[in-house]
Amino acid sequence: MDHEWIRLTRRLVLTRRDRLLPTRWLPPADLYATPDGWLLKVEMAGVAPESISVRLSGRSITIEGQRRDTLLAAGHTCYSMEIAYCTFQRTFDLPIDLDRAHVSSEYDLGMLLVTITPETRLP
Amino acid sequence: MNKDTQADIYTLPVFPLRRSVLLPTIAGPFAAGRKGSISALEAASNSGDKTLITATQRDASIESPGVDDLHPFATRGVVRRLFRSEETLEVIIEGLERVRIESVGQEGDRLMARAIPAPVFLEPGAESEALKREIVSLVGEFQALIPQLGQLNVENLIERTRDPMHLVYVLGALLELDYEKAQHLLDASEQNQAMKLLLGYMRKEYEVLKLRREIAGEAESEAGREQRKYLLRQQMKAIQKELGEAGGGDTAPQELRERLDQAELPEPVRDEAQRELGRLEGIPAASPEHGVIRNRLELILELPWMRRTEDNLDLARARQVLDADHYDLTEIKERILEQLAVLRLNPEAKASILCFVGPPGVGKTSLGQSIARALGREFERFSLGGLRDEAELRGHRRTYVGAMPGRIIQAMRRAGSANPLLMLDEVDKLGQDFRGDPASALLEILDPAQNYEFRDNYLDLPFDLSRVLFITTANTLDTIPGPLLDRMEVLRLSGYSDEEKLEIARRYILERQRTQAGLAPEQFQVPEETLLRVIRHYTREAGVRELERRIGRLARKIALRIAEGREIPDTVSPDRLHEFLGRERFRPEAARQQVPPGVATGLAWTPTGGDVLYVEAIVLPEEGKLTLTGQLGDVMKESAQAAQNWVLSQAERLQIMHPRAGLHIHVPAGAIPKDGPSAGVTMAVAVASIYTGRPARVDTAMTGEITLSGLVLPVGGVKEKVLAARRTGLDRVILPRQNEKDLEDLPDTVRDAMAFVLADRIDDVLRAAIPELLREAESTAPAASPKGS
Repeated sequence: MDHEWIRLTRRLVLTRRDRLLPTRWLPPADLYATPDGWLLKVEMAGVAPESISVRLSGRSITIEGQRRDTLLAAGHTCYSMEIAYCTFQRTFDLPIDLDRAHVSSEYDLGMLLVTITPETRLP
Repeated sequence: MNKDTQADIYTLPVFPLRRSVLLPTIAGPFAAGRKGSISALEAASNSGDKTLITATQRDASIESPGVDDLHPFATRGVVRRLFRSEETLEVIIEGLERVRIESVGQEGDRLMARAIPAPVFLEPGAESEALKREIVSLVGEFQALIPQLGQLNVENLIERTRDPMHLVYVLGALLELDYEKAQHLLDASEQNQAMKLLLGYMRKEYEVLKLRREIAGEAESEAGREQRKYLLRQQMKAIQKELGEAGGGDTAPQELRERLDQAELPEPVRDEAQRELGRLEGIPAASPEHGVIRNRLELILELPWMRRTEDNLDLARARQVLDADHYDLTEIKERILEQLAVLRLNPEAKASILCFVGPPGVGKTSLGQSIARALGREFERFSLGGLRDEAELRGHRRTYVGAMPGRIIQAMRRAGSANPLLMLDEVDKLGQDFRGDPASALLEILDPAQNYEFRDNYLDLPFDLSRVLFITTANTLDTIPGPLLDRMEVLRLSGYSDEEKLEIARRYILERQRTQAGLAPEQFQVPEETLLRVIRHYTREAGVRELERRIGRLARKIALRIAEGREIPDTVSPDRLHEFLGRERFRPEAARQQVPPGVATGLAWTPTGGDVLYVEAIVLPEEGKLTLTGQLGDVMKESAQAAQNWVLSQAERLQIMHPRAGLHIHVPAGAIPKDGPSAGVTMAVAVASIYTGRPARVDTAMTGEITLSGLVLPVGGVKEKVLAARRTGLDRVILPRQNEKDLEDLPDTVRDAMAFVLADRIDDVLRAAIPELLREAESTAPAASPKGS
């Protein structure tokens, strides 16, 4: 009886956890300190540049948007799908006040590059 | 692209769900097999944002649902993963938002729905805050019950969730609500309503969980175990129903198969079990046969075919355990240690079957328990007392209604190891009648040459009992059939003397009863004189059971006084004993101070120890008549006749005046039946005394069988008899010389305080018992202490 019981509980708990796991798509990102400030690289393969928005608030920078499948053709049938086509959102905290920084972004080879240059150099 | 521009109206393919609900913000796996579903999923996967609408069917059995067959409140979701196997699509869909389906239309194989977003109406305020806190606290309690849930950090999730509905849906998914409840949750259009629903479900789930926990925790407790199992089964059913796993079928065969795969079984047994399982699967659960096969399979799975416990062969430890539990009993402890030593040198040695014989209450059964403890083996016991039916031991054939395995197999099942210590109590009280002879069945069980493949009628498979250490107990050997007795090694536990009882009381009983009554050591001071008084005046027994009850009573009386706030004595002095235990129950039978000629003091053995008995004889006027009274058995009557005739044959030498006079011999107490040859010498002394008119010595007790040629033969129960003499205040005992070795069983204190006369012939007895009767004989009787001779 006990064994069965433990097995059942374990299964319940595990399936419950699984059910929570595939949450939002989180695009991977790299953050670099540069001589001039900071560089944030975000993997944005397949995301149309115009659907990406960069928001600044205090010390945090938020990248959000939606990836849609644009490479579609009539008569194709999907056999396996792993790429997440959905909205995404990532927030990074930086040790500088972004309201007083110069922020620019560009899109290259499927990567979003955000360059952040503080107005006043840090000592 | 599928969003109408005028308002937020979606036109999306519909993936109809059967027996499941996708809640917003939750991702879940689904499989699609129906044409319509596959078509809807393909359409979604060929769209830019991969979205669709999941709607739950009202009736799962409908293959191609229309608008009326779907719940109007549904979820817009995005296909996150897709995998195509031969016939089906397996997908993971993430719920995005709650929508209401306005209309549904057919488009090829699939349904297309027009749906508008239906966000839940948020009601920030005191009530929703209260509900939220209630939910959070309940989650905490869940985590206390399921530690693994702690890793999820649900509380953190709750803290960070700004949208309370997100919380509701996540918890709904975690609870694995059945689809009807999940749909209710999705139907709720107001936040508070949804939270209340969720709380209700959580509370119920929590109760179920708590109950299961309780059951798991208390599985050991015997009481109400069956009832708990029943409850648990009901709960399992409820859980399975909630999980939609009911399947309606009988799960027993699969469950048994799993257990069979895991069980450690010898090959022939496994084969048989497989065969039986095959039959079980072919039989409907309602058939009576089903239960029979299932019970047998369960028995097979539960029996310890290969499982053995490791023997603890540490001799020093074993000695310590035995000494801690039992006082003295040196010979038996020695025998157990021998067995241990043998096992140590030869682990495959076959243990001989021990039989503890002794009066009740001397600790036979508890000795078995401590042997098991010393050896580190499982202990199981059952009583053979009154067992009449062979089938009780060897099981019933399965063809009988209510057939069960025999006691032996049941005990093995309970023991759970193939080498337990099995104690068969009261082997002398086995019954026997037309239904069979259990003693004969025991022959097989107790024979190491046969019991390695003991075949129980019910189990019908050979089971190896040769690793079992059997110990039997009996009060007497007389009623044990010869062949059975022959298989056992008899170890005698005789009754305890007052001194031994005192020691046992001091070392074991006092402490035990004190703790049981909840008294502190200083509250329960019982000096030795008091104990001795309890032993002598409140109990009469060979063992210590009654003594333990008396001391227990004493402890309770004192506890009562403490509870009532009355004063208690510092120590329980002997003269205050009656306050606690009432009037004295027994007065040690004082030896008679003076006896007329014709009275001799004998000693008797009784199952409860020894006793002093007087043989009284008078001469009758009628010639040659012998009257015997006092409930004497045949053997005793004959020994009276032998005594009379031997004395008369010696009439001349003994100077008997009226050898033809009749005789009446009476042995009090008249209501108690007596038998046995050991009163022979006492009879002879009584007869010689009455015929010669010389009184026998009152300070001398005697026992021994006689023959017509004047020999004294040895008797049994010497220790008990001597202890009885001592208790009565008789310090001189006449014994057959051949019983001299039995004196070694006596405690030193008793042996040193008493004088023993060892007799070879009746003459020796008469010389020692009736002074001056045989004065003219050539030598005096050898009086000897056992050490001296």
